Amino acid sequence: MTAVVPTPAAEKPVEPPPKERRPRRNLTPWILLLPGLLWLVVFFLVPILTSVSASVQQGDYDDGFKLTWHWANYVDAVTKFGPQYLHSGLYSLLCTVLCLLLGYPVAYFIAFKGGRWKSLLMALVIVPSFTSFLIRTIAWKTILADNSPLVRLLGDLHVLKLTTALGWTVGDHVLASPAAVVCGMVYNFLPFTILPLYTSLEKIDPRLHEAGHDLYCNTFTTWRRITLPLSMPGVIGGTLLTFIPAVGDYINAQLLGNPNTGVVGQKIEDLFLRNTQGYPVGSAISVVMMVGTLVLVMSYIRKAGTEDLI
Amino acid sequence: MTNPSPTELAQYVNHTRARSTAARIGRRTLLRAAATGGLGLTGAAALTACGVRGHVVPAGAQEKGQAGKDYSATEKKVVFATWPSYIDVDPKNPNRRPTLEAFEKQTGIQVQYLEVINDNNDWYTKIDPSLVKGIDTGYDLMVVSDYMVGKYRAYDYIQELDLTNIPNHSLLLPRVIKDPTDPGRRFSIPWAYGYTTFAYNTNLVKQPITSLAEVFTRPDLHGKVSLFSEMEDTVAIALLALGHDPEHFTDAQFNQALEYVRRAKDRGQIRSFTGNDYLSDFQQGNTAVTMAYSGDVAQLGKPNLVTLDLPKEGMLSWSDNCVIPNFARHKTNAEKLLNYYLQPQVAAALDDFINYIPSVRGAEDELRKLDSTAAAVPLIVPTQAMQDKARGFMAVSIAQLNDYTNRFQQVTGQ
Repeated sequence: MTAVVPTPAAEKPVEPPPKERRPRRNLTPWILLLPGLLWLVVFFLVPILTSVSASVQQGDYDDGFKLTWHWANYVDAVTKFGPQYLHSGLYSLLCTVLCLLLGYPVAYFIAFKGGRWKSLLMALVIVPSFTSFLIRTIAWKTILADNSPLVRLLGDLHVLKLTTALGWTVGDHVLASPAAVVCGMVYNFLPFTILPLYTSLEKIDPRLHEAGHDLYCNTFTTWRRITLPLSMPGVIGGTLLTFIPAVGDYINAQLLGNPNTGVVGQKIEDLFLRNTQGYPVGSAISVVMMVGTLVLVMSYIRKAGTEDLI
Repeated sequence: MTNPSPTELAQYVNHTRARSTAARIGRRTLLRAAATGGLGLTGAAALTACGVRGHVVPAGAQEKGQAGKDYSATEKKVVFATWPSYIDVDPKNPNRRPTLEAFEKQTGIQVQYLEVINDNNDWYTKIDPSLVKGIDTGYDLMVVSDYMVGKYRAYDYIQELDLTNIPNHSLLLPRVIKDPTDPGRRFSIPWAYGYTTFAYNTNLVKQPITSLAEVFTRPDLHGKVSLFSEMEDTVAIALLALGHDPEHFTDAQFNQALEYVRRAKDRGQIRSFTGNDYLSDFQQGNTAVTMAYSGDVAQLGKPNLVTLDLPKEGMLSWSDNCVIPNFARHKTNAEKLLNYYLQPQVAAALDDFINYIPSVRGAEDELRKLDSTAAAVPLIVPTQAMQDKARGFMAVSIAQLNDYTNRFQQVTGQ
């Protein structure tokens, strides 16, 4: 970390003169970096090491946990929670895609057609987040309650029959089903998609659209050949900002799901809070999730060709 | 869903009382190491230092709990940890608790009444770190379920009661004294006694429910059933539905019951596993059938919400008990509070409000005097037939309890 480059022994005698003055000059940036480094060590490095350490321990709450390098915890973490990994992945992926489909038109409209209402419209996107995340999620329990107007309408239109056949709703209700979980997630994470999209769309010079039309492109082709490529950083940023928290989110699954919609976060919470022997396996799952998300995100960025994002 | 075998799960149960001797690494040591050495070294050092310490309480003193210094005489207070909606409140002012205020007036002891417990296992993991270290938890009295009393006792985490401070102990009913987890009631006093059964919404369930098994199997209840996330409740009901006895069951029968619940869940029969908050979904009509604690549903006073008084297979009887954790600062005050609540009139006033079954002699008569309608509700003053059909939950060893709870959570834990 301190970047001490081992110098070949042969060069040693030649160096003395500059060595005496250099350290003093080079110390300043390190002192300036110190608060940041301290922060990283205390709030990033130590927690990561603690959780990696906990993931290879054995024991229980009452007799204490001992570091035994019990790697079998990872075998449990990977093999025993298949449905939860599947749900976490599926719901967060679907949420990201839906957020993009819903968020792109909104961001596009605000950026290009918003005119002087731009700031107000953006404020409208953000204002709901001033209410607590929990309250907003619980509100969906009312929106999707079994005898709510929305659910009855969907039932009358026979939409629920279709979604139930597909396994996204259960019987004639929406609450306590995978569909409800995804609804809650999309609602909660939508602003995270819209914000970066808006910033990148807003930067696009509208004259480029005119130029496109001048060159006989219709609106769709203009969008596809000019706007979309220019807004790619926003798309990547938005999807990442949505996917990363969504994959670890478990409040939506907890409040809007049923016993068959479990996600990894719920399992970790259970293991940590309600299981006296759960620390090691819980930590192992956390580490697996962290590494898994990192790998997914890295390969996504690689593929999308915007390495400068990170 | 993968199906872990008992042997696979047994590895989670650590029977040895091993103590981690690894010293904790200080933040400063870590920083110094980070500054001088490379990350690799530090990483290894930090990893080895991160063990959590085990028991400090000497293993010999298993019997009576660990007494701390009692400040009852100088500090006139008692800190009481309990569950929400577990006490009588003034109908006009929900912040006033008549029986508790009367106690404070009588004795001059201030009660810090904290509704902080929502789940037995949550609570256990919350106070366990203090108990393990052998220090005061900050609570003088806490309410935990019967099967947890056994666990707290096995780890020597709760203190024996001084019965000279609780003369009303002799009023406890014989069926209450004969407790499988605490015979003679030397460590715990019941706060509430009740049954676990089912309740249903007649607007949504056209054909009446008479047995427990129906709930798990009837196709018209598909996706409308809510069960409890407490292992004891749901497993006992499943055992009864299968014709087994929750007071005496074998491992094989437990496996069968668990499988029964798992199958119902996998089929989508079960809508949710809920804790204390089961009533809100039930009232809103989101769940048509819910597992319910005795008087809870009767208390709502809605004619379309019906409790199954006496299911064909019987039901589970349980108790939530007051215990005094180790090193409590105000043990004598806590015992005085317990003695107060064991008086028949006070017990009747409490049970009249929280709708549970009185556990002291004379309380039923007091209840009849106080509120004849409540006394007529069979879930508050149970009939002989109900008492005969109600079964307790078998006393199990810690290893068994941990194993059962783990495996149950594999099924419910979403």
